[in-house]
Amino acid sequence: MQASDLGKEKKEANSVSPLMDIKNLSVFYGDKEAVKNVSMPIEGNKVTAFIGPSGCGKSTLLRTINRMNDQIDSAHYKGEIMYDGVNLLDKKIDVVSLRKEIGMVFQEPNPFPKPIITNLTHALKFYRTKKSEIQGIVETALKQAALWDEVKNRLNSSAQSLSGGQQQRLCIARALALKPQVLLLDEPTSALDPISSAKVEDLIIELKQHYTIAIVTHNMEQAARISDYTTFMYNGELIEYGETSQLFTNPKEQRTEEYLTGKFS
Amino acid sequence: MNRRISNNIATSVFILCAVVMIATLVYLLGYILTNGFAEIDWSFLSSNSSSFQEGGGIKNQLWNSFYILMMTMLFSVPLGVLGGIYLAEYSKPGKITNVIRTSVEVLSSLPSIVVGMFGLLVFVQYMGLGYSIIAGALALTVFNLPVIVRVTEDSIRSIPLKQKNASLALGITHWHTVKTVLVPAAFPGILTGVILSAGRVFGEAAALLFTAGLSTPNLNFTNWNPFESTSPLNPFRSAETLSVHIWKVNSQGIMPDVLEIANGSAAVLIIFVLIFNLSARIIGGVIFAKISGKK
Amino acid sequence: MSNSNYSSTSSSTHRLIKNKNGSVKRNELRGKVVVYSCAVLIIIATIAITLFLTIKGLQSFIVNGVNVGEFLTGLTWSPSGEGDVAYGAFPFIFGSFSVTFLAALFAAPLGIGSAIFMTEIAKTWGQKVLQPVIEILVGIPSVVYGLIGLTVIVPLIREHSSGIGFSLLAGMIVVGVMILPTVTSISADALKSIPQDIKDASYGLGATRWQTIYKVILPAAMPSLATAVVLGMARAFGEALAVQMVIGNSKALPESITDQAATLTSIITLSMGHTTYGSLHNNLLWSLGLILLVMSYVFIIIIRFISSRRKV
Repeated sequence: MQASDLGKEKKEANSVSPLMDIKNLSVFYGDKEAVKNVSMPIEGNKVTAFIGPSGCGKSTLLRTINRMNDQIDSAHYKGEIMYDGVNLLDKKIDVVSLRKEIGMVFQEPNPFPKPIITNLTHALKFYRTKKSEIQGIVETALKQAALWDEVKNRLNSSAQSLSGGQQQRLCIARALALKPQVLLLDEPTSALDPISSAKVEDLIIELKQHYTIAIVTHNMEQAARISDYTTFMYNGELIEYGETSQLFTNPKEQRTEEYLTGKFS
Repeated sequence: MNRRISNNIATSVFILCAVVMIATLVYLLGYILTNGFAEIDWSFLSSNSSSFQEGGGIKNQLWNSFYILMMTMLFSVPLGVLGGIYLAEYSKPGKITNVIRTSVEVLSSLPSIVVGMFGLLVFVQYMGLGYSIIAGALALTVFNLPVIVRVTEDSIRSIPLKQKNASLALGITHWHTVKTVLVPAAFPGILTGVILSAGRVFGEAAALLFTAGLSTPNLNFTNWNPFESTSPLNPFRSAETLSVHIWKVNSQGIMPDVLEIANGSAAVLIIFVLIFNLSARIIGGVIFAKISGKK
Repeated sequence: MSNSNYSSTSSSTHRLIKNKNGSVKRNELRGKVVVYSCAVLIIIATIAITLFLTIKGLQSFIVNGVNVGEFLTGLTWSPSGEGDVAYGAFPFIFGSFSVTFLAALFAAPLGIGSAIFMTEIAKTWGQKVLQPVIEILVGIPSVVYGLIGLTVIVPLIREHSSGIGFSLLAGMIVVGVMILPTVTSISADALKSIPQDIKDASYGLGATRWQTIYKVILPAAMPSLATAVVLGMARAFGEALAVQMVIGNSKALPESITDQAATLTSIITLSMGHTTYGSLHNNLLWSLGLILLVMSYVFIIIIRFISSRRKV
């Protein structure tokens, strides 16, 4: 799936089926339709970015994929998210296993107020990972998150003693420790300073070799820098989906162009 | 001008209200402690009470108070914490949740004498426990349960949602998240509430009159076998607590030093209540400092 | 690309489909069972209390044939007398309501005044000093209030009136002081929750603090302040030992505020231990208890009613 066939129809790209396929997805909070009839693929081992003004439904869409929206009592769905032969919105889906396989990192760094090591072992212990394996998994995850060198000598100090950027990378490491297939990143750098943001961005580019990444961002430059595909959403609707290079340089839709050129935000 | 004058009068009235309030506390504590301290000595704390002679102590009453307190907490804390977890985490808006909220409200507004009557009817009579420590502790559990439920619910609800999300997004079950993330984070709040409620339980008397009883058998403080009738640990014996003792000597006491005993007992009672109150404050403060100190 | 390193198990079930026997599922279920059973237990306890006390409280009417009207309005209480048996509980009902209202009359202005002091006049000082004072006052056991009433208030009233000191007035003062911290702290919470911009708008128009309090803050907080007072009254109505120690426990209707009186709780406290279980006298005490139970439901309904008006 080396997507080199620029500007071709989406259908054609589907001939090698994408990792995840969102079909006619609508998400409601009570009567309010937050995501309206969205269809798009999420390609494996690529970075897919979601951009659009705040309240456009991009975060809701992301949180629907790992069913974090289930926590909101009034939330309900229409449509399908096909993944590995199952519909993720099916009632029979075990959301716990789903979230283990599709990890998520939030806007605000949210490490547990516990030692750094405990942040990583929290889920491993729940899944009864063998003690002999834990050490290795922790080290790999921290290395993948480019945090190992900074924390290897103080794994037992509180995660809250880390800087904001380190905390966010710890959260990414925490998700990676579970060896997920997909990582959902919900504006992961919006609470960080520019230097920390740059580190997280580099990390994302590194990670796509092994993981499929979907990232919501309010920062268009960031989307352009790190993503392979970009989705522009507005008012709950998907306005345009395409390869990032094409969408940013030659958008098909007028509203996309207006958004990219800063006519509204 | 008129506006200014009425404003000043009003302000003075509000200040006066606050002063009355503070004066009341200072007077109450001052009265109890100055009158009571004179009576407190080792023999008062360590000797048996006497029913008609001078010089009785409060050893058994003090022991009973702590024993009943401990047993009450043993019952009410797990139940109350789980009830609070239900309300904070598992309840969905709907009829059942309303019924539980109303139940907690009813339990918390029941007069303690009514709780005592229920204890008399069900624990003492129907369950055949007689006037006993266990019946008293069960009655006080009814009395304390709503407090623990509320404290737990409030403490859990005050934890930032991002902590819960962090755990759920890692593919961890709701229950495991509650156990390993939410309850530990809520622990300082719950602990503070539990200690405060302990002070309330320690001073409660009306619910115990008809459940734990007004008398204590002769206790043998060298016998710690809970199944023997003279053992201090026997939960099936009747037990007069310190608070009940204060009430009893005042309304039925015929010994010449009723007032001295009552004052001394009240001072001891107040000191323990103050200790509970203060330690709740200190623990709350220390933990708060720990959290805001980010270490 | 979905390089499934999870070997799909031999059966037809997908790893993402719920598996009833998985350890994850069992973990979740165990938690739910524990938590739900506690919730159910709380409901059962409440229903049991209501049911048992209601059935027991109705015994005197059903088994002993006591006339409800006579019980509620009769003035003479002599349920175990040898000659004529009389079971008029009105003096106690009257006593309970008098103590409750008089205590509220004392505690409401003082409590709300202190709450205003804490929230509007001296915020930091109020928080630092008054808040702990309230918390300690709430924590003082009722027998201690009773003891002080007995040794301070009762002699004081004896000196300044014709009575013996044990009186409705003594009961009212003791209970009033007891509910004062309750009223204050709930009122303070209510006042704190009033948005600052409402107050600022008033000050911006040049109103003095008193005008702002009187015209803006008090009306806005009224339902919550009423709730605070009703909660205080509920506590006053159910208070037993402190009242019993100072009110004198006379079985007749008091003629003045310095006269001896009795309340439902004080009669129960006094007589429950001296009556034979199942006797008429004993059953009548349970009926008095039923009135207390009904009243605590009434207070809850009143509070619900007040807070439902707050939302509108």
